Amino acid sequence: METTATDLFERYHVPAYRYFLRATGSQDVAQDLTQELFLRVLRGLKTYKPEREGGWLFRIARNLVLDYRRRQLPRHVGLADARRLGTEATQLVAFGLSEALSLLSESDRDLFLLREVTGLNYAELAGVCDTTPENVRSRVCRARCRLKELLSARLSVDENKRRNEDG
Amino acid sequence: MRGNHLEVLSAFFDGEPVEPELLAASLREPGALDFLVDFARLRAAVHADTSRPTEEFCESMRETLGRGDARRGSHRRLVQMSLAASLALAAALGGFSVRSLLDRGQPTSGPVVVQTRQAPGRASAPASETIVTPVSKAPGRTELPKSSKQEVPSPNLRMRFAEWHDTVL
Repeated sequence: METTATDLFERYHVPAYRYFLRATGSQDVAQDLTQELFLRVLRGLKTYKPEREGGWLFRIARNLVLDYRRRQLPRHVGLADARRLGTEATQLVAFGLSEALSLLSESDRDLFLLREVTGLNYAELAGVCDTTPENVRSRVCRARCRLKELLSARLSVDENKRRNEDG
Repeated sequence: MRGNHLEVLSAFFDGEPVEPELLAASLREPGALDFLVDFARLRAAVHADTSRPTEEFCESMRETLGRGDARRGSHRRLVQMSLAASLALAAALGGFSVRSLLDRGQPTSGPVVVQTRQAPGRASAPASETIVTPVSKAPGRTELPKSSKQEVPSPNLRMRFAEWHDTVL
């Protein structure tokens, strides 16, 4: 029985949408990218390999995110703006996971999200990101530690705020 | 906590293979359990996201992809049928060519029969004339057995025989 684009859509549209949503921060964009992803899947089924299904599909997904960022960055924030926003963001106390994610480097953020949202293993992630499983292992760990640091800072500030309000 | 211990914990947390000795050493590090718990909290935060694309969007995608799959399937069937027809044609042409080649390799005339006629005026003399007559292939004509075919002299042999005959006479 041959796999169709509809089968792949049923299996992957939710994780793909969540990955796009986390990576872009916009529901509309996430939906557009999900649509584009599955249209590309339909066109590219000739190169589909069942044993590497997830890796193949999320490689297309990641390329879509990279293309999107390339198109968006000059219009919205320049490099200097991005740096300024990053610095300011670290001074802000109330930021959640999305904000913490936005402070990671693009490649670390992508790897972390792909790992957590899609459940691909390190070898598959290495294929998606054109790198080695060892590099994936180290970058996923780095992303986790940075997120933990950012989120625990937020949690401790929230805790202090609550105490002050109580006091 | 050192970086490599954290990497081992992170990989272990992701279900990746890790060396048991390294894992034991990493778990003995101070704060190791806190790191594991924080990794789990982080995962829970990511998975707490229950957002999905709208049902309208999904329906529209299913329709589009379904049409595409159907078109792809019929295109593939068409390609398969064309391929099968091409193969059949190639096989037929190939068979015809082989048959033609084999036919070309066969002699155009059939086996040759050598007849001798007694020379006039000689009662028991050897044959004075040899007539070599090619037997044309005709439908319904019984062919000579293979061994006979091989023994039938060729026209060259016949010429030598005629020369010899003339010399002797």
